[in-house]
Parts: sequence; C-alpha cells; structure tokens
Amino acid sequence: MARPLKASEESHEQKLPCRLLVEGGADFHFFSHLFVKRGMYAKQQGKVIPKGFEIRASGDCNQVINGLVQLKEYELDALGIVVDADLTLADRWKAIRTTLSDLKLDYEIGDQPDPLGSIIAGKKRLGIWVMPDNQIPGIIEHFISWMVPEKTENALWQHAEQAIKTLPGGPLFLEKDSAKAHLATWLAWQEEPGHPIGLAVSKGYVQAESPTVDNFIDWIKRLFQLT
Amino acid sequence: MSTLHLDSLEIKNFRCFEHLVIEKLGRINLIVGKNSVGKSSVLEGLQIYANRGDAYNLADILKYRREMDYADLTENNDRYRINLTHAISFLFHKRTHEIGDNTPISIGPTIPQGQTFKLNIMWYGEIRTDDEPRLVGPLTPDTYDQFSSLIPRITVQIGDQQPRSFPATYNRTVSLRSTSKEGERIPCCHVPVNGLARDSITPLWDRAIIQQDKTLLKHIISALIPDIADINLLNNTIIAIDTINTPPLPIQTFGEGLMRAFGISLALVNSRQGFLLIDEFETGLHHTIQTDVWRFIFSIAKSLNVQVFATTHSWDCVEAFEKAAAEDQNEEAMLIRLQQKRDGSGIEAETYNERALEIVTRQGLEVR
Repeated sequence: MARPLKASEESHEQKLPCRLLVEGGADFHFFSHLFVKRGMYAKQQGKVIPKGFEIRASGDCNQVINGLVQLKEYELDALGIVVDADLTLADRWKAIRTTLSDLKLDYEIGDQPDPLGSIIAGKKRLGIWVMPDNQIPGIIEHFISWMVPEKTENALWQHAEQAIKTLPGGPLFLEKDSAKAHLATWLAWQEEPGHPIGLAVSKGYVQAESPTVDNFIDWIKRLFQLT
Repeated sequence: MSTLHLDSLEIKNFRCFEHLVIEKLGRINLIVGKNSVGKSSVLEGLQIYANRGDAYNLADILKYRREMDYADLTENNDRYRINLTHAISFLFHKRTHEIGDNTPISIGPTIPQGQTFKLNIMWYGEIRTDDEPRLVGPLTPDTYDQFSSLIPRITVQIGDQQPRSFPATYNRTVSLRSTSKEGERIPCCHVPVNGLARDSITPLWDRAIIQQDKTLLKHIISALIPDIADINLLNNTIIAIDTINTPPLPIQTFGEGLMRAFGISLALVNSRQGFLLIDEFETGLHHTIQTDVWRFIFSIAKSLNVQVFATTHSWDCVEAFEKAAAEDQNEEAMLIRLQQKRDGSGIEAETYNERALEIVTRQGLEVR
C-alpha cells in the first residue's frame, strides 16, 4: 500500500536531491518567486520550475526543525532550513541543536549562527538560516521589509508603520508579529491591494534585486553548490 | 532492570555485508529497506550468533535458502557423506570462500566486551601415532605440508575464548547433531515469512505449557479476538474454542491473520532472555490488527527480556510500529533502514529512534 502523502503543505511536483524547508505556504511562494527573480528558478506559463533544489513548506517553525530528520533520507544530498528567530535568536538556535541531538544526527553546530548563513558538513550538507539575518531577533517579514524600495522616503511605508503603532485599543497581534502586520498593511494599499508576500515579489512591490538579499542568495548557492 | 542482549551490531564478511555497523539497537527493532539489501541476512546473522554457529542451525538456514541442496548437488562427489563446507561457503561475503582463508564471519556488538562471535572453515592436520589419530589446528598455510592429510573443520570462537571446531562432513545416514553447548546458546525463535513450520509448533507449544505461558497466550489471543475463550493443541494443530460453545476449530478458521499473530506470540514466549526474529512482519496481517500485534510485542518483550528484530516492506507496518512505540512508556523502538552506500561500496544502516520515527510518520516522510 502506498504511504499517505502528507509530506508538506506545499511542494513542487519535481523531486530534487537538494531541499529547502520553510515555515509555511506563504513563505514557500515568497522564496519560489524570489528564486525566479534571481534567475535561479525558471517560470513557464505562470508556473515556477525549480532547478537544482526544491522547496517544501511545513506548518510552523517546530515542524521545520523536526524536518531535520530528513537528513536521514537516502536520496538527499543537502538540506537547508529557514526559520524565524522570533524574540530570542539564542533560544531558536538552541532548539535546533537539541533536535539534532535528540534525532541522533551527527552535525556539529557552532555556538551561534554564521552571519552569512550556517553550512555544516556531515553525511549530507546542512544549511541553517535564521530569519531575518542570523544575528538579530525577528521574522521573515523583517527580511522582506528590507526589500521595500526606498524605505526611509517611502511615505506609504511610513504611514503604515504609523497606523499599526496607533491602533485604537492597541494591537491584537503579538509584539513579535508587528513586522508582519506592518508589511501586510503596506501591501493592502498597493495598486492591487492585499497580495500575499509571494506576489509582492513577483509583482515587484518588493525588490528581489535588493542587496539585502545577497547574503541569503549566496548561502543558497553555497549550500546547494549552484554555479 | 533487564538489559539488551545486543546494544549495537557489527557484522563482517557475512552474506551481502562486507562490514555492516548498526551503532544503536533498541529492544524492538524494525528493519526496512529495498530488496537485496540484506534484511533477512541480518536475521540469519542473529540466529547464527544466538546459536553459536551450531551445525544444526547452520544447516537449517542453508536449507531454507536451498543452498544446502545446491552445494550438495554440484560439488559433492561423496555419496555417503554430506560436506557442509560447500554450503557454508555461501554464508561468507565472497561466496567462493576458500577453506583456510583467515577472514572469519564475525557477528557481535560494536564494542565487543568479549561477546563477538566468529565462524570460519579451517584446515586441521591429522597426526597418526600408534594409538588414536590426533587433530592439530587450525593450521596456517605455511604448516600445511607438515601433514600427510588435511581435514576441513568448522571453527567457532566467542570473544577471546579458545576456538572450538567440529567436523564439516557428516555421514548421510546419521542425522546432523547439535554442535554447541546448551548453556552457551542464547534462546532464539525465528518466524519465517510463511509462519512457523507445522512441525515446529508442537515443541514450542510444549515448552510454553511447561513454562506456564498458556494463560499469557490465551490473554494475547482473546485481546485480538474476544470471542476466543481458550486455545489448545490437537494433533499438531492449534485449535480455538470460542465463547458460544461451538465445537473447537483450527485457529486458521478465524483467519490467516490470527494464525500469524498466534505464531508470533508462541515464538515470543519461547524467546525468553533471547531473540525473537520475524521475517516480513505484515504477512497475513491486515493493517488494523498490526498495531495490536505490536502492542503485545512491546509489553511482553520487556517483561520476558526478549529483543525483537522484524523486517517489513510495508508503510502500514511502520505506522503501526510507531503507534505502539508511542503508546509504550519505554523508549525502546528503533527503525533501521539498510541501504546501498552512495559510493557503491557496500551496505550501511540508518537508524530512526522513537522521536525520529514519530516525526517521519507524522510528516509522512519516506523511510523504507
């Protein structure tokens, strides 16, 4: 009997020996379109065609970290995970270390993430990127906000920030998610309002060519040995 | 507290394994992997380890794979004697193992503590004095020409103990005798793909009765099928008596699955302080009953100090195994995948402990 297919929420049809695990469907589409814009993935008839590595989305940060078990998969050459640091980067890093040890995965990770993205040698190559930049607390939306064009002079961006800071009765969302609220608010006011982060890249609302993305792209290329 | 007989496994020069290392074993081990990566060979290796290279057991293993007949047909010119050496050479990594080759089959934990078992076929020399002929050996090649006749013998060695040897040829008219010492063997029961052989059920049943395990067996069976009130042995057949007093019926009447489950439980109680080996666990078992069977294995294996090794090809079996493992209080399950090394240099093992197993079943990741 075939095993039930529940490997991830989102994945490409193509199965490739290198794999990037990300936190959810929205992140999946963000990275897919980012890689298209950066010339790493192709796009045919509106459909993203992965090259060299595939992306899989898991439900949340814990599920992505648990996904480290995929390092035991026979067909796999390299695995990268992208997780949010959230409020404390050190705690996230510790959770990764603990899971590696619990799963008896023989990978030595340093005391803190490499600012350029961690790559750890082992039976397979393991890459870890802690959003936004491996150095400060935060989430993927911080990383995306750095791609917002001319942010300091961008009136709409400033206005959105002002708006979420002055919500009547205070915010309903958690403090750690304010970057998410900020970005979503700003996206709500674009020419086509309310697009998710994936379309924000493909529509060019945020700049895929932003130099703030370079370290991340370099990390992907080193991890998956892309030329 | 009961400790595991083997906490790890290292097999050298045996079947498809030039050198296989499994760093960590659990109490209940499920072995997965594609065809011809040696799942059944691990079970054979454990049988040989447990039986200390007993000739009777070796012949059993070779017969099961038809290697005994083959060697006998093609390479033996002696009508009156069976030559075990030809057949046993099949067990070595390179099947053309030469007598006197100094590389034995070696099976044991990775950190030996004196338990590693070694088996080889070596030349012995015969010295004829006035009285009895005397055997000297095992010989090294440089001493072969000091003897007028050389005799092959099967040598076995446990840890650093003095090696023992036994004859490699047998008179056809005399049945093969056990060559190991009773106290030295580790109890070991093997449930083949097709279930227990009919003639092995009676001795196992008898031993279960003597060990006062009937209540336990009855308990296992009625947990699977509540209608069954009692079980018994009648003319080599296990019969079940149901609660509504219909005449006793062969247990097969209740389905192949129950017969399989009963065979496993009978073998389990007979593996006290030893190994239970189950080839292709899922055979005949519908996926809904597989978890129940694993449940009784987990609970009884611990109390009888049995270490279990099963093989499977089935995803259902992996899921049922995980479910029973998660319910069990002890961290004792291990999934072991055998696979060709990527560089083609042999076979390696990847292990999944309970935590890893929980994630792969939850995320539906391929492990087989």
